[in-house]
Amino acid sequence: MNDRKILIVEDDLDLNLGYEVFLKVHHTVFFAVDVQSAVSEAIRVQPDLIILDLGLPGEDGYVALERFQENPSLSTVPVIVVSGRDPATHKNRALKAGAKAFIQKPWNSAALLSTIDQYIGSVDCT
Amino acid sequence: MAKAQRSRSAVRELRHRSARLAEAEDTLKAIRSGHVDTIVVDGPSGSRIFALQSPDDPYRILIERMNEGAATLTSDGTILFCNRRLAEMVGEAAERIVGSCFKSILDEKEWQGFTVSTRQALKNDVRNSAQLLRKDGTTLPVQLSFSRLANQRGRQVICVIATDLGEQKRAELKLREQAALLDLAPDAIVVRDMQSRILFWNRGAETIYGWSGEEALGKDSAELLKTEFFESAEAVRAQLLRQGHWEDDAIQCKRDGTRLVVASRSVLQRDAEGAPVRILTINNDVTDQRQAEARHASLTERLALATEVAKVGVWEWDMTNNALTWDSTMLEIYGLPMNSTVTYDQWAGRVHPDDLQQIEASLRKAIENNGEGNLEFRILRKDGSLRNISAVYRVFFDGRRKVRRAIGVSMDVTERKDAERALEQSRIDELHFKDELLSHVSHELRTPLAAMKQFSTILQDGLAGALNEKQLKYQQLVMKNIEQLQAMINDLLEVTRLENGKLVIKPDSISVSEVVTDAINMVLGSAQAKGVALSSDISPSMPAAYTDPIRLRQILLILIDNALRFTPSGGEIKIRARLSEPDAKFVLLEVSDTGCGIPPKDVNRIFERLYQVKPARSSRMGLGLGLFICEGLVVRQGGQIWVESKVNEGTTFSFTLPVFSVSTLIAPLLVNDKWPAKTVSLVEVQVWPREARPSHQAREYWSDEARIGIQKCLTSHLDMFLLQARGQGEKQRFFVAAFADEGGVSTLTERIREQFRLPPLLKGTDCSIFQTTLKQVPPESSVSAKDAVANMAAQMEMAIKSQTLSETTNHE
Repeated sequence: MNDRKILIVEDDLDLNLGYEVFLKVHHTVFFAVDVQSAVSEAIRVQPDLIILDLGLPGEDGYVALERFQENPSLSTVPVIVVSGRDPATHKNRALKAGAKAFIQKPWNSAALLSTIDQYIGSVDCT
Repeated sequence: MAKAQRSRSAVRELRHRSARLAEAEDTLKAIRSGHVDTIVVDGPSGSRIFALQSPDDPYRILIERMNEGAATLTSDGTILFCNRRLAEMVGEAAERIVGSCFKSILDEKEWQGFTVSTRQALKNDVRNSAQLLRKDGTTLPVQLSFSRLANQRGRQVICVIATDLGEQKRAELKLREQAALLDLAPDAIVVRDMQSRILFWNRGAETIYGWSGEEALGKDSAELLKTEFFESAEAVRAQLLRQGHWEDDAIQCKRDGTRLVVASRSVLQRDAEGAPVRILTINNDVTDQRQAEARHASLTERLALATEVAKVGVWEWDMTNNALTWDSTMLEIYGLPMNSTVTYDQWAGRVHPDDLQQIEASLRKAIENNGEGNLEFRILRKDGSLRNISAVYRVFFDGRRKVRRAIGVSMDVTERKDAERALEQSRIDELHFKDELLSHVSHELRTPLAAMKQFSTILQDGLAGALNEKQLKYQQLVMKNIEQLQAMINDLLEVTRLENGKLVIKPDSISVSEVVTDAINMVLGSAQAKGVALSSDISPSMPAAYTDPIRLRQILLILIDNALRFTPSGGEIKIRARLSEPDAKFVLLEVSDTGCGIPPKDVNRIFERLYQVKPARSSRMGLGLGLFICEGLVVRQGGQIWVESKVNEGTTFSFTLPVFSVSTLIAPLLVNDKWPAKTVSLVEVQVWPREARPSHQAREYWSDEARIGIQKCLTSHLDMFLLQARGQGEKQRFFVAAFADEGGVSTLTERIREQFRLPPLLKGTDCSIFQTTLKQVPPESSVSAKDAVANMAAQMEMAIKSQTLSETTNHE
């Protein structure tokens, strides 16, 4: 599935390198380090899946989620939130805001892969 | 010649004799004219003095002037001479008295005594009292002194001196009377001379000081009584001399040595010339009084100081005329100037209007509560500031048990209240901060941990090149440690939630065996790797438990993990579950191992936060929070957790959780033995996602959201959420008991449907609602509350079971 594009929205550079090494095997990976570039990059790239961190510099991930939902070309892209925040509060909030799944850092690599596989390419027809 | 010589000497002699004659003549002349009254003649036996004046003259003046009556008598009593005073005493002219017998001026009774006296007087002086007979017939008591005068021309002459006893007696009587009065007085009355020698010492002084009159008289009073003044003795004396009186307290000593405080008043007596003669002192023993006064003063002072320092105002409210009496601190509290008077209405005008009605209520409570009352209210000071006042008071009743008066103390507690509020706020802030801190910390720790985990995976997966055996082994070690760190951070967060009360527990009717199986499956791998057998033993008649399945699994995982840590290879871990006895309201779960056991000293402390027992073989312990978290989770759901262990044999952790019971859930709705409505319905809401294959997370998410949505529609005293059950496929079924009539139930169902239409909440789901009306227990029946609940619960459980069975027919 080499033509699947994944947009990673994450400000930690080490993690981003890790994502790249880990995911480039099967997917094409793009990066954005804040909300603004996340939206513009998403519009430009039209990814098949977005991995979104909540703790971004400036505006946080929820703003990005909102923007994705607002934009007709992006609203159908599945978003997996990967965050260090407490899932007790944020899992449902993220899902309510339109994300498909919430994964807490540090994640189990196998679980991440399977979640990606589950959603990548799945189009939400709401 | 001889003749001439002889005539010359004769002339000389003549002249000499003439001179002498002239001298003699002059002397005679002088004697006759009274210029000479005494002649001193030198005789053979020495000088002799001859008085020449009439023996009467100067002496006559003396005799006439003296205060006593005097007379001279013959031995048979005839008066030869009588002085003016005697005549006065008798009340007759002296000439008349002279020549008569002395008896004539004596009372008849005295005559015999008189005769005796005159006879005796010839030998020695006699003195006796007698009664003179006056001209007007009255008698005058006198003292008569008889003495013999020198023999005059052969006659015996007796001199009589009469002293008017009348005055003396009167004076004596008066004195005695006064002395008697002075003795009656309980005060010590002391008279002393200017040298402080005691002249008079009354009975009171004897009693007070313990010295008798005999012992005291003549002594120096200051020495005897060891008098100490509050100023110098000189100053006291000076004032006494200057002003004639002095008054103050003094300290003296009794005979037995005890000290006493006297209130002393002294008066100075002066003679006719104004010279100080005597000091009269009256002393009062005020020792006890002064002590009491001192105590009282000290107490009052302490109280005043205390109330002033503590800024406690003391007030009195006379309800009969609504008058207020305030001390200075009260005025201070209310911001009024010193010496203001305040009326009740003025005060009430300053009280916050909302708090005024409390006064009435407070008084009423005070009357019931033994007269003690308290009140907190707000006042508006003249300067516009709002202050909180706390008052504690006591009411007093009149004879008819009506409240007449109140006395109390008030304090401005504004600062304290502000401080309390600030403290509460800072506690909230601190908790909030701690919460934020921990979330922030745990959040921040996770990113580097994620990076570490990520790259360790990358290396292990060979994505950065193949690893040799050792490299792989070491990477696996790294990963193991990363996972431990992860577990520790999770535990820490969990404990914080426990402390903050933010722990989320979502109890439900669950199958214990399902959760146990789930937990075992998660740990089986590591157990097998360690060579420890892991099995379960669930009683087949286990009822559903009322608990959060995720939390139950969490507890089991912690306990199994602990067991694994302390059980060596070849050992066994078993999980048992059954209905608890004798209290069938709980399920009992046990996690037993055949491990090394816990030493007795650690057993009691093992549930403490951070408490760790060092395992035999060195293995990482984690943060030691696991059991603390388990205890929190169990206790919060109404259960208990404990441990039994034998060293080298094994350990069993046991805990209880409530059994799912419809009765327990609906019992609170039965109020005063009555259900809230005549009819009750079982409402079932079936929810399923529109998405074909929702992820586990998605399923969990909308299941949670559906439940929240339904619960929002319930009315607490009419409806009760019963349980959530998994239906066919992805379906979730929610059961609610609704006590309402037909209209009420349809309102409820409509509200629920509305929830599922609301975006974005349950956008991806559909729902159908079913309703079953149940039989109501008639209120007239004499069923006990417990039975009523049991019956209703049984009906509901039946209905739920039948609904579940008839599910397929109800599919929309």
